[in-house]
Amino acid sequence: MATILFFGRFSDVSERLNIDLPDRVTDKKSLSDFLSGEIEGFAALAAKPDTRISVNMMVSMNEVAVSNDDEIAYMSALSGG
Amino acid sequence: MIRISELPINPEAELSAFRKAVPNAGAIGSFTGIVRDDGETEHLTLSHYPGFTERQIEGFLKEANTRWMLQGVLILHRVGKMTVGEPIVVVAAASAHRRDAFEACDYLMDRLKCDAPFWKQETVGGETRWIEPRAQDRSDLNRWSP
Repeated sequence: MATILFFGRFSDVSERLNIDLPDRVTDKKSLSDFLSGEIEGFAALAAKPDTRISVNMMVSMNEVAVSNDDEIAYMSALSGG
Repeated sequence: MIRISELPINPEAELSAFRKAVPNAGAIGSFTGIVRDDGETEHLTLSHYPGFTERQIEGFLKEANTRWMLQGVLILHRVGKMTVGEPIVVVAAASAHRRDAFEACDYLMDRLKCDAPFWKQETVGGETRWIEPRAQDRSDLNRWSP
């Protein structure tokens, strides 16, 4: 079961999810597409250029595979400390 | 030391303890950030990504240690709900001489303001809104680029 976390503005549209990913979800892109269909308001946030996605606390600009063993976090623009 | 907590920060006590922890330091530079009284803000609420935020800040610390000769660094950050006048952040850097301490402290605050995974909301007139990143903070951080 994958854990999906939402920070910043993403927390306005969803709380933490613990879900079995559908077979068609294999990477960050397909996960975002899936969540866009499931969560109202998610797609617009995910499309913002300053959105960051981490997989197991690692952020990469490249595509990354995801699975049910992973913790994936969606982060909106950082406000700073 | 890095600590992120919902508990209030007592800067004086923390800086006193830090000073004792770096007995050979010739200089300690410190910064305390406080919830500003702008006449409107009722409170701020900060959130972070536990584990990830600390890991990012550890990266800032490693970078600071490659740039300056530091004997110790203290980074304390508050999360949760806080009101006007309460400390949000304390950063202190200890070194043999003042320039390293000043600059490391300044650099670490710039990294915290731009790159640390914190999300901030302010409540004004009973309404809460997200605080966006500021161009000035990015400009300040760019001072450290080669």
